[in-house]
Amino acid sequence: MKLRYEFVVQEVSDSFIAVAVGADASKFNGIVKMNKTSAFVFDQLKNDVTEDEIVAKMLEKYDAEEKRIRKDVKDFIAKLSEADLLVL
Amino acid sequence: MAFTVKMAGIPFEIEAVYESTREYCRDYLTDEEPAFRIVSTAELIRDERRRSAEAGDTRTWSDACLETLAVYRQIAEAMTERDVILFHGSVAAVDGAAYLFTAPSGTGKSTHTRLWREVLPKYGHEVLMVNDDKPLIRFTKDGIFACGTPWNGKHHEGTNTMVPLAAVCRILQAPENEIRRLPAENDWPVLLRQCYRPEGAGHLAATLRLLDRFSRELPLYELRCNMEPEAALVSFSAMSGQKI
Repeated sequence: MKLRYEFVVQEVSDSFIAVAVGADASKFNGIVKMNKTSAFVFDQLKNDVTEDEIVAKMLEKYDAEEKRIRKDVKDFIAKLSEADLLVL
Repeated sequence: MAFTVKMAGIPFEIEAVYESTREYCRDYLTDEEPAFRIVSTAELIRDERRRSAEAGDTRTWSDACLETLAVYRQIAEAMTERDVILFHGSVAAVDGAAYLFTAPSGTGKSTHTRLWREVLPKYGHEVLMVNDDKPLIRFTKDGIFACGTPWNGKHHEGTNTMVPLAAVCRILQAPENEIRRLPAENDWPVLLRQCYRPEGAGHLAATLRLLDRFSRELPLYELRCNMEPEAALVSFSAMSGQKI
């Protein structure tokens, strides 16, 4: 799965926001608000990846329990899916 | 036909199809060497017509009129490379400080800045209109400035000047007058909605970086107001910190 639109991501204090670029902005007019870990997941989704691949990348980068990481990834993907931002 | 103008302190050349566009920019003409060039074409004007239609605009625009919109769009895109963004709002300056009122069209930004012009002089504060509709906002090491441009609303209220911005205020219509400071987390949706959103990824990234600075350096207020003179006193005293 991957992101449906092209986004620009901006760091704002401790968080990140993503805004759709160009013509896509008329289809998704909103902003995606993220923390550091969800921003990492978001970045992975620029390419076509599976949930397992994302979790694997995160385990390399972050020192946290796999169960926890899996849950965070699943929750964030669900949010993106709800907003119709993912292409499967 | 080409001519050079200076806006937000930056000179640039415009090559226009219609003479009326040069006339539209007459208060901003300059002899200085241009830093960049904008070219208007019949195709871009057609594009602008299509956008108006898509946005649900039912007014009839002539091609000459549409050229001014098409040109400003290009200016907004190019200016993001020079730390300038385009904002939709009415800017009034008092005692050397500018205040930007933002809201969807028809909410009452111009009405409110007009109230400032009627009411504040009675209390000894002269009000200068910087730009009643679409100011350019320039970011420098010395501060954030609101700039006059020819695109200053249907009554053409504005001045060819740059004034440091002191605060930004979102307006909502309400029966009673009330103002509050919004926490910074609320900034982004408001700011993004009222700022020109460029089409190029690079320009959009530049805009977001500038909005981040905007959000960090300028206080954002929310004003609920009616059209009574008291509304002007409520907003001015809160935003300027001066007791009226």
